[in-house]
Amino acid sequence: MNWRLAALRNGFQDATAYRLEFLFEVLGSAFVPAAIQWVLWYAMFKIGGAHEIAGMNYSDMVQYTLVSLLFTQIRGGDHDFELQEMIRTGQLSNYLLRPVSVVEFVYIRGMAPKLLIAGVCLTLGMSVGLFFGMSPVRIMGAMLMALIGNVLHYQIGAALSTTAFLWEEAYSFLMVKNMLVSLLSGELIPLNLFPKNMQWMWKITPFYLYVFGPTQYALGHWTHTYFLEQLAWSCVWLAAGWAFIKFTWSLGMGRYLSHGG
Amino acid sequence: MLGFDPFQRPIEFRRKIALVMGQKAQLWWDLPAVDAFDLLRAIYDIPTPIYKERLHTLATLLDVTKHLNTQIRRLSLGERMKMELIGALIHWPNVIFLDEPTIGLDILAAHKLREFLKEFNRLEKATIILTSHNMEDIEKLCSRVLIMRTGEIIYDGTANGLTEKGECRLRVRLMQSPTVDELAHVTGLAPSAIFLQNKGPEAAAGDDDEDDHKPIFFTLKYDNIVAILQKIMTTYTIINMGIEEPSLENVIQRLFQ
Amino acid sequence: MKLVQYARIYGIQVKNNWVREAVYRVNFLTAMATDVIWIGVELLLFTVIYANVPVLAGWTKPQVYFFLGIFFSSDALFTTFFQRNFWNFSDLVNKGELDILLTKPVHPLFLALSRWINITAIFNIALGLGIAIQFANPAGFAGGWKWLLVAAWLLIGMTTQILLRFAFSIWVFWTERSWAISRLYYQFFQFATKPDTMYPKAIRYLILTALPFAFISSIPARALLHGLKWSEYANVGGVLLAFFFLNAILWQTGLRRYQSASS
Repeated sequence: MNWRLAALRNGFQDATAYRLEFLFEVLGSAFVPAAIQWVLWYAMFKIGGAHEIAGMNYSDMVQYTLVSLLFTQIRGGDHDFELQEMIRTGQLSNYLLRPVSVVEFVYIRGMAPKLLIAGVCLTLGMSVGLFFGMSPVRIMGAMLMALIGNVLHYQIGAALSTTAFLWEEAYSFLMVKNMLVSLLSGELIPLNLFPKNMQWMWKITPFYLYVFGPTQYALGHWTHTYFLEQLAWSCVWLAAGWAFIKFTWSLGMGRYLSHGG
Repeated sequence: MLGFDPFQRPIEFRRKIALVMGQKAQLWWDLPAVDAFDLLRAIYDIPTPIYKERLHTLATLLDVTKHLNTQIRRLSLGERMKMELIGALIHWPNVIFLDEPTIGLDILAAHKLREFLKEFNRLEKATIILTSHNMEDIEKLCSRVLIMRTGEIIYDGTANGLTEKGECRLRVRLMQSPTVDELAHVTGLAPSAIFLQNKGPEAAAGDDDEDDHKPIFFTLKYDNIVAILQKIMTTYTIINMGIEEPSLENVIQRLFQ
Repeated sequence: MKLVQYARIYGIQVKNNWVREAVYRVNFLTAMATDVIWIGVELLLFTVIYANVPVLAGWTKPQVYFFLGIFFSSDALFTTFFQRNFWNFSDLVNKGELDILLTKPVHPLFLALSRWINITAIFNIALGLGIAIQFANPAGFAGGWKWLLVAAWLLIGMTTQILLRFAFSIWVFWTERSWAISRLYYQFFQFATKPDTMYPKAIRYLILTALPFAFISSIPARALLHGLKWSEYANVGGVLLAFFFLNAILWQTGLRRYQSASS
């Protein structure tokens, strides 16, 4: 258990050693997606003169944008790229000698700053939310879902990074995953803007549980029962992700070790 | 140097120098060495026949002809370093800067590399400037040694000059704790040849324990050992003693103390 | 002749990259797939939006698709010749590999920025152009000899990206964690993925001047579809020139700092 705490502390120190850059990154990753969203709403409603789109008016859209920001900050983290790089360069061998799971170690190290951000976002969301009459229970629940989403995202990345055992350029898979996530998680647009016949696109991936789900619940667009149902789904995805990692890593490791590392 | 100001980096100056760094590679990881050399040929504008001849000479000297078409990443560390050297020498520089060339190499590979550098230096009369923490590199290769400490040169001379022939280090522990001057007076040696270990403030405080008997080092000629010992024994009581061969490493350690 | 020598060096870089890429044939497919998915995601975003509104800030759906086509090919042009070199730029300085480049008798930046050429990305230039051609007619692009203008605007788009990317990378001389600034580049780069007229005034002003991400594809697409005002042409020229000189100064000071630190 001890090494997990150590990894957490190490990851945290690593991320915040250069405070200015850390702040830069957080602000950059918050400001730009929000600005892009706002631009779209601005173009649609203010320049285009629309009143209601997919049942949402301008202020609904802006609300969605602001609240989704809280969860956009939690999702992702690019530590799966680190895994891929370790496999590719053979650094993985260093970790195999230690009595810890590489996949877990890299995750804990990488998610440390996200935990801090999650804490800040939670406090911010609850205090500002209170002012606008948003239920703190909902925000806490939404944050829980976003954190599960963070694990899910890494699980998928960790499984995909095993392609590095086979190919030099496995990061392409991770890039593709991130691109799909950027649209299908709902951080760019609310997913209910998808026309009816295209809704299946985001429903078949777990990505909507990262940002869209939490935002909808926090804003009160999802009922408690529907939220719990979705939370159950995210646990199913977690289990599937865990099995996926087990499978791909045992395959990859077998290959790695038989090739002499 | 070479009549140029290195900080201006004029093109003509750059044509005449080469830089090899043990930890930084200029060759392409995914390509055979020849392809990287081909690029260097273009960069230094070397006519093809001359290039071929040089490559042949260097590859033969370093014994890597059969590896020229192997991807760099498939080579061993030693072979890779040899390729780096070929890459650095292909334009026949007048001055070669080597930064830790044997770092991470096994003893055999390091030995071969040194042999090659010696041979190249003898054949081509190129100046080789070597920075290294490996004493063997320096003892085996360098005719002139500069020792730097925080930007200041604290030694300038031959490697042999640091360890004169027939010189050794005498280590003595005494019952008493004399000062350097007292010892110099008794033995007739220069104070600079005498070194008291740990002559810090706590030793001066004179606590009555083992710390009182710190070793004292004398740098002297082998022939003088007996005479000096006799002189010491007239005044002090020796607890124990020993004679050490001064390797360059020791000498430099001493310079830094 | 200097130019001939540089051309010869570049030729060998191309050859070497070709050899290198031939080793990783899978890379060819994955790189292509990555970009196709990326293009797909961007097209999908606008498809979803245009399912809800007919016109967006004066841009019809085919016009936005045409814009995206121009954007992809201009970006692929940059990817082909420069992307990876900029990725490695911070390593060059942090790991001291620049030391070696500085001892070579050619411009160190030329060597640093010509080392990696992503030959497979040429496919993506074609793909972007394909999209632009597909939607040229419904978007109202005249075509004919004006396709030559497309080539010119693509080059301007690429030049903009080089100058911007350089200005974001150069800080590696001053801070150890310049990747944070590089990442900021990619955040801002998002602004290039939408036509500039969609943006509120302040942002629009920003991406036309201090951070001219609009020059990558927005300005080219607008120029091709409707033509620009003279003041806009002058702005493009002026801003790019200013960036060029800014970069030159940053490079000189950075290099001086690097040399005094490492020697």
